[in-house]
Order: sequence, then structure tokens, then C-alpha cells
Amino acid sequence: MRSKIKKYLPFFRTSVMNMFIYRGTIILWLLLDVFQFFMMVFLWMSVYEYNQSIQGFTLHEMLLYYLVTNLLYVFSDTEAMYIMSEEIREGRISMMLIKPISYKARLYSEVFGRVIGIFSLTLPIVTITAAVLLWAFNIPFAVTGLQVLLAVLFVPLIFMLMFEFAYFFGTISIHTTNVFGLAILMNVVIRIVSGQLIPLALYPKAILTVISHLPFKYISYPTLVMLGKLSTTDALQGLLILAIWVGVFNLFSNLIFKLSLKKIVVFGG
Amino acid sequence: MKYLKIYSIFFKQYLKGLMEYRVDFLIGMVGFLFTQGAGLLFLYIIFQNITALAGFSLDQILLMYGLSLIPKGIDHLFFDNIWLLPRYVRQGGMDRYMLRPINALYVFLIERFQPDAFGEIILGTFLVITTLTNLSIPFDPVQFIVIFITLFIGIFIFTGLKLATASTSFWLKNSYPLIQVTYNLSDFMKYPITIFPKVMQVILTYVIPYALVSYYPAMYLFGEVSLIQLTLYLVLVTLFVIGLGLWVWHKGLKHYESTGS
Amino acid sequence: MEIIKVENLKKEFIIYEKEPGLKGVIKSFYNAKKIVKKAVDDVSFTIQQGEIVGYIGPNGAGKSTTIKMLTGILTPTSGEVRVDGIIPYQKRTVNAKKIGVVFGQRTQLWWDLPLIESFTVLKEIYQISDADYKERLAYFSALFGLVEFIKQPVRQLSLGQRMKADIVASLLHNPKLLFLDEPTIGLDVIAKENIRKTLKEIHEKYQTTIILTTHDLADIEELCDRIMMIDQGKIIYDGNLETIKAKFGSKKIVCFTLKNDLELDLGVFETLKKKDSDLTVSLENKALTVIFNKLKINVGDIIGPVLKQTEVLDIDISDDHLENIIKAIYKNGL
Repeated sequence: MRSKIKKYLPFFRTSVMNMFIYRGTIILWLLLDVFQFFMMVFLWMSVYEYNQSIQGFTLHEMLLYYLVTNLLYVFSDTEAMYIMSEEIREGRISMMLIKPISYKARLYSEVFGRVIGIFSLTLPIVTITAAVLLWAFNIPFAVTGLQVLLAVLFVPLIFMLMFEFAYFFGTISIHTTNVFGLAILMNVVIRIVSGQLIPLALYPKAILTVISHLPFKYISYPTLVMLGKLSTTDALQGLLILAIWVGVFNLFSNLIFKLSLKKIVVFGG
Repeated sequence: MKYLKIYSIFFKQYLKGLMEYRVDFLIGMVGFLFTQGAGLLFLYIIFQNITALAGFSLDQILLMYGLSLIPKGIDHLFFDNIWLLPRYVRQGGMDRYMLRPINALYVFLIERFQPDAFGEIILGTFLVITTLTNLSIPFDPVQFIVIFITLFIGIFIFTGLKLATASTSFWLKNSYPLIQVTYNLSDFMKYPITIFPKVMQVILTYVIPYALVSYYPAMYLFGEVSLIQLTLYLVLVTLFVIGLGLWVWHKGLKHYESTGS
Repeated sequence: MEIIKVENLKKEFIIYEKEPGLKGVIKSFYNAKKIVKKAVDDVSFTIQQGEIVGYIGPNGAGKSTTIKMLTGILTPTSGEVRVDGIIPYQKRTVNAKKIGVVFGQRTQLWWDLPLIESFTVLKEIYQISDADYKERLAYFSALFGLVEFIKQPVRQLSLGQRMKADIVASLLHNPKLLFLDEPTIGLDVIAKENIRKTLKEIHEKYQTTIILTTHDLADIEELCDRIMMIDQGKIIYDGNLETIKAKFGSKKIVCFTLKNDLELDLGVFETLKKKDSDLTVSLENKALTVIFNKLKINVGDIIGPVLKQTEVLDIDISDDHLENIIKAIYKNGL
């Protein structure tokens, strides 16, 4: 088993290193994100001018919500889709499939490396932003070890869910020439149904019922746990159901990949 | 004029291409509309929970935003090639524009036509019309002409800023983030600039003056800003921005001429 | 009539040397080491109208820098350059009307436009009259067989087609001066031959002055009467192609494969040579190699004696190629 994983370690390592090579660009974009974050802070301050609480969120909670969501955003990365569609288009995928390694596992390692690389670069800056925010607003931030643990447990599952999702989209991208447009569509929809755009609690009841049947709502669960808005039971339940969803997505994306294999290999060259 | 003749040749081809790549074009438009839709959804949901933001109703805010989308879209439609300037400079691709007996900037700009931008223009127009109706603002031909001219001049705010930031790539290696940041600042026109600190408001009015195509024209329609104020701001600041863009481009090209690629 | 006059042309670039890594970046902010690179170092030459000049040199020798200054897209550090009486970088657009440029590696055409539309745009840009445009397009169409691909977008053309298209595009406005930079690069042998032939025809018809930069010396041999060699920013040779071949390309090589070499008397070659450098012989393992100065010694005088003396299984005779000549000049100077 260990030797099996060892095979993919180089891909992981290379990915991490690549992120460090691009650290200039990554940090620049991060600083811009921080800027946009503070602009949004002003927006929320304005929103809360005459309201103390909106759907159970105070201003402080709302700000914390976005802070944590932004921190964890990197784990719902969908780069796999771009990598796949490029490799399919350029015909490189045939080369990969000949090798004695699983295409998916290799992709997993690469994307995971990328995520870890970016996370380690962004963590310091996000921590500083958080400190500034907490200090400026005098926000009391109390979180228990259990909450942190539960939140952390969600992270790998979220990563896997989004990976499978991106893997599926990467596979079907051969049917369209405007991959970019398709990717935008996919990312926007995720943002809306995952709670990254705005806490799901704020949605009108009708939309909320639909969204709550999708697995993407779990992406906001770590944040909600840390804010104390989810009970331990709810969190554990969420973990279980999310794990099942990951399994389902896995089987489904594998199936679609197998079926599309014939068409995929024809491309490029 | 030969400049117009040249453009008509390109334009005919662009229209043809549009027909050929219909599906691509539609996906692009849909993708764009979804992205914008998310932003509007956000506003909508907030207004489910509050009645006014900085004293403005949802319709008033959407009017401001809708107004800004029109010039933004038109600029996006015709002057999208500016985004590629950093890459061309880096790869020495500017040579081919300089070898023609015609203005290099012109022949550089006409090379690209971005029909995705129709989404912006359509959405903007839709928002403007709906909100004006909802707000029961009567149609006044004078106001209409003023707004029309404002938005027309406003196109070049986007162009000028893009050109100024992109032209820095004649000196810097990678100006792309700079162009992106300046451009993305326009997304904040979804909200009335009064929610931001004074510093930001000044920047958005006089330096990166997106407020001139959103907040101020809307305030003019609400009767809060006089025509003179609007015109003054618009003309002076826009001229400054366009002048800046052209100046940086010109300087940049001169620099390119002395240092090569 | 003089069409290009270059006097004491210099182009220097300032390069900032940076140490690698983060330390280097910080250091370079306050103490950047400046290196002056002399890309073109005091170059002077004149070119007459109608000449076809080959401009050769190793990579980084200053070829493209010179060309850029002649086309007006680069300003010199010092010195004078005049193209058809005007200074190119000062009157870029005026100069642009008189020149045509073909970059072998990059196209000047519009990628997404059908080829014919690119030509139409050029017609407007260069303000070519309807009559002239029609006539020249017809001429080039016939010459290059354009009708096969003239309706296709440029991005769909093969390399050979694109090259032809670029050449036509550069000549539509009948420029006095044509710059060709690697016009045959990447093409197969037949396509290369085709392009060289057509360039010769065009030159005959329009008397266009052509400056050809290339690494393919066969291009030079076929097209140019005159070559200029540049190395490290300086012109090291400017003259006739024939002269260079005569002066420096004098060697011929004959290789014999013998049945056995016991009977061979090498003394027979001694009588042929007047100087030691005129002829060298080496005999090893039944292979006899004779390198001799073909201007002084007849190849027959080499082969004859050998055939008389011993049984020969195979003979291989080769000329010294222009390539070797040029290589030698770069290595050893003149």
C-alpha cells in the first residue's frame, strides 16, 4: 500500500514546489483578495446599520463567516477540470494513460499539492488579516478544540467532493469548445449553492429547500461549526452524509470517464 | 477615411465569426450572465433582509450598477485586445504593429472583437429600463441625452484606465495583475460609493472614476446632482484618464523603440 | 542609386545583472550592476538599389538589431542610418510605406482573417490603387498558386502556405526594399526551392532591393551576389559571394576505398603539390583520403595515378560547402 502511494509523491511534491515558484503571483492575488475583503467589510457595516441581526447572524458573525470561508476557499479548488481539459485537448492524456499509474490518482496528487502549496502561502496573510479584523472590531473569538477538530475533518472531504466534481466536468469538457465559459458556469453555481456567496440561511425558504438537498452546502459547514451555529450532532451527521456523497461522486465520475475514454484518446495530436 | 474602411473589413469578419461560433458565444454569454447574476442575487438577498443600504433602495442601487455596465460592455466589446498587451510586449510581438504605415495603437486595438460583452450591454440596459420604471422616473429628453452622452464618454474611462495600466508592461514584465485590479474595482459599482470610506470615494470619483458612470449619473436622475456638476466631473476627469492612457502608451512605445523586445 | 546608407551605427543595450534568488532581487534595487552590451558596434555599409544582400552571422551577432534599426522600430545609440534618404526611426510611417518585411518565425498577417481579407486590409493600409492591387494580386496568385488557400483563415494554413502568404503580403505595395528574416525556416526542400525561385523572379520583375537574413546558406548561394557577415556587432566581411568562395572555399576532398593498400606509392602525390598546404593525404585501413586545393590541382591528377596503381572499390568526391567556409571564417577569422 505504501509503495502505491509513494508512486504519486513526486507529483505532489512538484505541484507544491510549483506554487512556491509562482509565490509572487499568488501573494499578489491574495493581497488583492484581502483588499476586496475589506471593501466588503464596509458593505456589511452599511447593511447592519439599522439591523442588529440578520437571519441569526450578527455583524461580527457575518464578518467571521466570510473570513473563514475565504481561508478555506482554496480547498474547494477545481483546477482539476482545467488540467484535464488541457491534457485531453493537447492529446497528452494518451501518454498518461499508457503509463503504469492511475490517471486519476496522479491528478489527485497534483491538485492536492497545489492546494497545500497555496494554503501554506496564504495562511500567514490570512492570519494577519484575521488579527486586524478581530482587533479593529473588537470581536470576541471563542472557539473550542472540538469545533476546530470537526471543522478540520470536513476539509479533506470537501476537497475530495470538489475534485470528483471537477474530474467529471473535465471529462465532459471534450464536448464543448468553450471550456472557459463552462468552467465559469460551474464555479458560479457552486459559489451560489455552497454558501460561499452568502450564508445559506439568508436564502428564501423555497430556494433553501432545493439547495439543502445538494452536497455543496457542506462546504460552508466548517465555517458554521466554528461559529457555533452547528451542533456537534449536526456536524457529525454532516460528515457522514458528505462522505457518502463523495463516494457517490467518485463512482459516477469514474463511470463517465470510462465511457468517454474512447473519445478522449482520439483528441489532439 | 482609410481607418474606417479598414475597420469595416475586420468588423464584417467578426460578425461572420459570430455566426460560425454561435455555441461558444452563447456559452460565453450565459457564463457571464451567471456571474453577474450571482452578484445581483447577493444584492437581492440582502434586500430581503433590509430596506435601504446607505439610504438607497434596491432599485436605486441597481440603476447605478446598470448604468455602469453599458459603457463597460461597449469598451469590452471593442477594446479587449488591451489585455493582451503585456504578453505581446514580452514576446516581442509589438514589432508587427510598428512596421505598418499606420497608427500602431489603432491597428493593435482593432484586432479583437469580444462579443461576450453583449451580455454586459444587454444586462445593463435591462437593469436601467426596469429600475427607471420601478422608480417611476419620468422620461425627460434632456436627461436622456445627458445620460447618453455621459455613458458614451464613460466608455473611454474604462479604455483609458486599461490602456494606462497595460502600457506599464513596456517597463514592467508583468502588468497583468495591475490591469486586473483596476478593472475589477468597477465591480464595486454594485454598491453606492457612500458606503466606502472617504478615501475610497475620492479614488472612485477622481482617479479610477467608475463612479462617474454609475453613482453620479443616477444621482443626476434623482435630482441630487446638478447637470453642471455632472458635466464638469465627467469631462475633466475623463479627459484626464484618456490623456493618461494615451500618454503612458506613447511613452511606453518610445521605450520599446529604444530597448527592443 | 543608393538606397541604404549606414554610417558608424552603434546600438548599445544596458543590461542589469541580477543575482539569482530573493537576495538578488533586493540587491538589484539599490545596487544593480550595469553591463553595456554592444549589439551593433560601429557598423558602416551602403546598399544600392536592386541588390540582393545576404546578411549572416551567428545568433546574437547583431543581425536583427541592425534590421530593426533599418526598419525604424529601434532607435540607434549613435551613428547615422538612412533608408531611401530618410531616417527610419524618425519617420517610421513614411519609411514603412517603402519597405516590406517578412519574419520567418512570426506572421504579419491577421490570424483569424481569411487570407484574402488580410490582403484587402493591407490594400487600405498602404493605400494601393485598385488597378495596382488587382495586377499584383493576379501576378502573385499565379506565381504562388494562392487560389488554393486564399479563402482560408491564416491560422489554418500550412507553414509553406503561410510563408508564401507573408511574402505576398510584404510585396503587395511594391516596396523598394524587402527585408526577409529566415524566409525558408522549417520548410521542406521542395518548398524552399520554390520560394527561392519565386524570389528571383520577383526581383527580376520589380527590381526590389532585398536584404536576406538567414541561417540556411543554400538560400544565400542561390539568391545573393553580395554577403555581409556580422559577428559580435562588427561587420567582418562585406563583399562578393564568389570572392569568398574563391578565396576561402578552395578545398576538394576525394575518398577512395581500396581493395588493399599494399601496392600504393604515395610519392606520386608529392609531385602535384607546390606547397605543403596544397595537398594532404591520409591512408588508414584501406581508406585513402586526399584533401587538395582544387584551384591548383586537378581532380583527375589525383584519381588517375591511384586507379593505375591499385584496385579501387569506391570513390567519393566532395566540394567544400559554403557552410564549412563560413564556419571556418567564424572560427579563424579572415
